[in-house]
Amino acid sequence: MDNRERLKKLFMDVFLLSPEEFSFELKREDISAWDSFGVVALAAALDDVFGCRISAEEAMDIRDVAGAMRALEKKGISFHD
Amino acid sequence: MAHIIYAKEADSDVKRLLDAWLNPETFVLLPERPGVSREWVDNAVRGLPEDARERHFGLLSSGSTGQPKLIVGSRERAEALARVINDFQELDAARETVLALPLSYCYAFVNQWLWSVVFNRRLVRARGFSAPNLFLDALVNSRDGMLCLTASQVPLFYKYFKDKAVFPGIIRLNFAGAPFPQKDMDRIHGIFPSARIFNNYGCAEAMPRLTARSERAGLEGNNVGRPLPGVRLKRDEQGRILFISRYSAVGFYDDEGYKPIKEGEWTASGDYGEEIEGGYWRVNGRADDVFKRFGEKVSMPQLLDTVRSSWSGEAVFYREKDDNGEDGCVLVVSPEPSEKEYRDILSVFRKNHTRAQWPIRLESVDSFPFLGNGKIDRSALVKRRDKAVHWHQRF
Repeated sequence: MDNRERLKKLFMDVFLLSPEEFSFELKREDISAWDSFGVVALAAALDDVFGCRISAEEAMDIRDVAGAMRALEKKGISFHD
Repeated sequence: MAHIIYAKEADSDVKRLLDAWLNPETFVLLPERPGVSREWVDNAVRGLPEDARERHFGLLSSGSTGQPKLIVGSRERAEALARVINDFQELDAARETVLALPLSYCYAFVNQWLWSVVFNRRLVRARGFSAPNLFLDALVNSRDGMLCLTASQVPLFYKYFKDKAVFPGIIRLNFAGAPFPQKDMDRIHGIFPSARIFNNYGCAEAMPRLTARSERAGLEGNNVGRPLPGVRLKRDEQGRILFISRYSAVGFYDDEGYKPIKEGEWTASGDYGEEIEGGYWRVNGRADDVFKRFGEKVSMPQLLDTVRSSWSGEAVFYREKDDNGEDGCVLVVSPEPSEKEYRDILSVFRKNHTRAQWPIRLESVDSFPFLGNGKIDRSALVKRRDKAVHWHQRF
């Protein structure tokens, strides 16, 4: 599984999305479950899955899937497999 | 000192239980696998108060929580309840009762065995689906029979009996011990075309009935009917159902010792519920099935309704604390779902519930373990090591 697929599965797991509901263009306002608890859950999942510690401030700044990819790329995770 | 009878002995020797009932000495009827040690039972018997050492009886209640309790009933009260049930269900028309549940289960013990003793009716000892051929014979040959079932047994009629599953000799059919299978009523009428069907509600401490109602189209499955004569119900501030019944147990023994149920004292049935229109009562779920997580109320029966909107297999929740020590619940489904199916189940949680109400994990098993009374054995399920984990919350 490449990193894009891992990120897709992570979003589906954290926000209970079906494959049809997920897209790489998703934004926080598209997902009702992406509330303050969702931010914490996303940070925990990014740590679990990619081994990257994301602070609460960094997690709050993630506004969409692309933002999660950018945050991970800053930690050395590549999405250009 | 009370004496102990194992259900297996009572099954193989019909007179044994009757002799015990007619003998003044209190007796305890235990299931084949009581789940407690003989020492525990002996301690329970030794702990009985003086006034319960004669003309009483004890039944073990394992319940779905797995915490054993020896419930002590008065024979006089139990016989009175058998008469009330007989009147309510017009059971004078029934000539026999077919036993499909363990005799040590207070539902079968009072509604069937004791009823057959008080009204001098035949008790047909079929062992339910643990001996399907015996059960089939009993149902085929029954004339004007009464049968007591739990909802979980209904699908087994098709599984085991297929096109033979039509039994016009059964004229009364009782359900208890689990939600009433209102949605399956057409199918059940097809299996038992001559039966009047009743929903019965109670608990072991009530020994065992509190309410009953006749099946009627349009009523919800969780409508358990009106209190029987001699029974009063109320709802406490937390929404729990409390009862006072002239037929209730006189006390019970658990790990903390013997506790009397005093006359006139309100006792918890173990369920949440409320009175609805016409004096009927609605049961909203087990009291220990509702809890708080991150300050939010979580009702496992409500969550189960959510699951059923997207999953046609079986499902059950059990309680577990999460890594933070917060109360939570785990969803187990059977059979194993495909990825699309489990994603669909999860998706309805997102659409209908807040994150605090989502399960901690989604697991599956090939088949559920059942208690003798037909309920899913959640204690055994928790211990099962073959559960597949499909999803877990990361928090």
